[in-house]
Amino acid sequence: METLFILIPLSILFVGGIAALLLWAIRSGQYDDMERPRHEIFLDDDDRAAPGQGQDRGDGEA
Amino acid sequence: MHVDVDELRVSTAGPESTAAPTCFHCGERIAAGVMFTVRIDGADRMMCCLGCRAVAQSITDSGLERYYRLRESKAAKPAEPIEQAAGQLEVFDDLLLQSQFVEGTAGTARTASLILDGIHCPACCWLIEKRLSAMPGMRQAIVNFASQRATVSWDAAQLRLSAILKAVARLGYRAHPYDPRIRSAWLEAERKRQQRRLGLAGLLGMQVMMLSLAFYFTDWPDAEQVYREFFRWTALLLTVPVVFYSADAFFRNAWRDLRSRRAGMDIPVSLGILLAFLGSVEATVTGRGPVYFDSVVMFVFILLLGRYVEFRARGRALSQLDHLARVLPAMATRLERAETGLRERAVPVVALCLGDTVLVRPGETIPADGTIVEGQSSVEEALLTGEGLPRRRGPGDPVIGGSTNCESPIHVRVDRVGAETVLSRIARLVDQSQSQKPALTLLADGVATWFVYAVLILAAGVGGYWSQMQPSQWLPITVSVLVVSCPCALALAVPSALAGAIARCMRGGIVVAKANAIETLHRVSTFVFDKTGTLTLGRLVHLDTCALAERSEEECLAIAGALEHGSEHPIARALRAVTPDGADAGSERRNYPGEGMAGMIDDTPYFLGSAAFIRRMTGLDPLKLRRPAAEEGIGVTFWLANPTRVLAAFSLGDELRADANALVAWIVARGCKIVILSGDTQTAVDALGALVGVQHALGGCLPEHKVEWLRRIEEQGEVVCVIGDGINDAPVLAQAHVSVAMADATDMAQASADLILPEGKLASLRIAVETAARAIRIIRQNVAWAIGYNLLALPLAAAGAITPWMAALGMSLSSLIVIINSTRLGMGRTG
Repeated sequence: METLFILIPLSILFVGGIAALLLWAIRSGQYDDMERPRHEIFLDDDDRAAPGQGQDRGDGEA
Repeated sequence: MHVDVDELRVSTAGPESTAAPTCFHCGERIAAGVMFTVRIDGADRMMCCLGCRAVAQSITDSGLERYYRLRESKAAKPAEPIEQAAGQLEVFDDLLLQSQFVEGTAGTARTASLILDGIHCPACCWLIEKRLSAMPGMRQAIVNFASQRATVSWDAAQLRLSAILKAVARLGYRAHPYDPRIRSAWLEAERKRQQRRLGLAGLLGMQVMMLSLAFYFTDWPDAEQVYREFFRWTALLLTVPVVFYSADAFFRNAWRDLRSRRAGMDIPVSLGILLAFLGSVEATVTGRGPVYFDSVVMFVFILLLGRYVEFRARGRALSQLDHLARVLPAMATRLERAETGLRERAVPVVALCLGDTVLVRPGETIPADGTIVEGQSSVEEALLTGEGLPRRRGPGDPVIGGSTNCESPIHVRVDRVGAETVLSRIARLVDQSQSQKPALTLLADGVATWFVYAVLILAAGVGGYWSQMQPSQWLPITVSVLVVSCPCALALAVPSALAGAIARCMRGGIVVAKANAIETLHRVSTFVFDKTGTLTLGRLVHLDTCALAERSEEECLAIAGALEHGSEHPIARALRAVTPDGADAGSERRNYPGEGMAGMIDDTPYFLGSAAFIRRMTGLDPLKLRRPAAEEGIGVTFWLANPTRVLAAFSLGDELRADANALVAWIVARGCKIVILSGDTQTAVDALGALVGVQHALGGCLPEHKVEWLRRIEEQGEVVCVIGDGINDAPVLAQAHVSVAMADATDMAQASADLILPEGKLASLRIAVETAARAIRIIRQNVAWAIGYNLLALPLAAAGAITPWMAALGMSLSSLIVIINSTRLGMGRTG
């Protein structure tokens, strides 16, 4: 049982880390558009690997 | 071939006319004799007009033809000729104008927010993002589907803002820069603040609940009291941020309500949170009595969730209004006297003074009310007066600011500016109507106030009673009463259903700008249509060509297109939209404003215009050849002749929207009244009424008359829905119980509308009405459930049968049921 004195503070530290991550995600706009990302998988198959490039000029289209 | 415009319209507007080919890009019917194709995905696709062809071409040229496979619905038809629209965008390169809405105008790294019109599926976002990202000098382009906005960052040394806007225009969308400082910045910040509060409450709440489980199921032996203490202190530590950060908004609101001596919902909420929290803190410090940290965090979380749902519904409505806060290219060309004659200078419209002379080129908007001092042209005032066709205007004639110059450049002396213009007068009428708008709200604030008083009195009574009877129990029981009676489910009942309804409407092609329209929509008993642009497309389109001599229909169209080359007259635009471009412009072209055009093609003179014009120029009487069927209605017939023969008759008309008949039939079947109220002539309105089957058609109405008429029938108890589009409609829209504006409506009409049809599909209106009826049913269920739950649980709580954690759990479940019930709205197919 004494281990709780270690584990619980540790879990609080974890929670603190997660909270920081959450606040960062909100600030950096991860939750700004909740509708588009679920369609994203259909829209881009190959060129998402290089985000921000957008240089494809349709040569691979058939 | 006997051509009758009206007959033609009836035949095409019928339900599912299978034979007519439709445009691959926008899905509209393709008129006879029109042959435009674009090669997409290895096949030639048919296009209905030059606009669609240009857009489709531009999409394929950028290698983005995958768009057509990805999209979920057809695109909107480009509203105006792309190049013309693109030409007006160059004003945005003006540094002074840019400083209003662009970040970083001092250097070359610039960022701007754009509002996008015409986006209806994620494929649109994909298309725009891809196209913009491929531009040299573009640093980043992000399109947000939820808010229909794009954020672009670019290098001003390589790329101009107008080029970005043009690229969007060529894809068939419209991008407007806007000043994000106005409202959306606040909305953004508020949304993030709420997300932070909610996220933190949820995250810490889970931890507290986990620790509390130990209290629920464990009897602490005396030897392990130290762990009990430890768990309590840990729970306290985790609850502190929830109470002081997440729940902070409730305390502020409650304090504000107290200071202004109002009874808001936040007062019992804050009281419940504070009582439970402070009581638990005391128990923790003294080591005696139960703690309620679990109840506190769950309570705060559920409340915040409800607020967030409500905020999202409201925020979406608010951000729609930003479409109106767009920065207008409010520039005018002022003519100034210089030593070398007149000098042109671009000035902001607000800088115009009385007596200034401005140059208005064809296609431009007249910046202020004034008088023509030089030049002959025709002026389109459709948006202001509802008059469909341009009026001929010459020196000495007055022109109204906001109308469009169609044919040739004119010099206008400014007579009125600012608040005195016709436009401002209409704007004032809108404000007035809006403030007098009859309020039909479902849950009046009065009920909430009454409820809050009742809860506070009850809680005080219960607390007082138990402190006498059983002093150790007064705190948990009072907290239970406050928590149980918290009208969370009740507070969620309306916004969650509205949010669902709004989402469903959006998928059905209708934007709900003002959420409370949903509450009224299902009760509408009279639908009022403004003719221009609502039942009809609101612009002249080429309906048919009838060859009368040896030349074929295609040849005649080509000649007409060559004659009208470069003209901005709506008739010219309608003809040019269906003639192949690239044809030589006729030489020696001469414009007879309001009558017709003359010009030489291959050394033969040709004349294009009204019957009277042809008669005057050639001596031939086209009317002998054919009955001018269209002349009576909204349509016009134009004739093409050479000096010896009349070659063809072109029928142009304001085409009926594809789904107008179906909608009218549906309204009639619902048992509602339907009225056409228009500024057009009575004959034109009657013709349209007969066409769609509406008996009650009023023509020649001025905005004031319309408002007056509307107020009268509203006093008779009718619930009125007005569908309109022009500036002249704005006051009427504001007066109506529910107002609907079309996609291509003027900004002012959209500003005063409750619903906007961005894709211009009238059928969406039916979806909206049906969704609204379902939403009301669901709201009633929700309210009944929430009140029923409170009535049931309150006596139990007051009797001490419910502990605070049970109260919080019950309240959460009750709220959850309401939310689940509301999500039923968003599910299922949309028409």
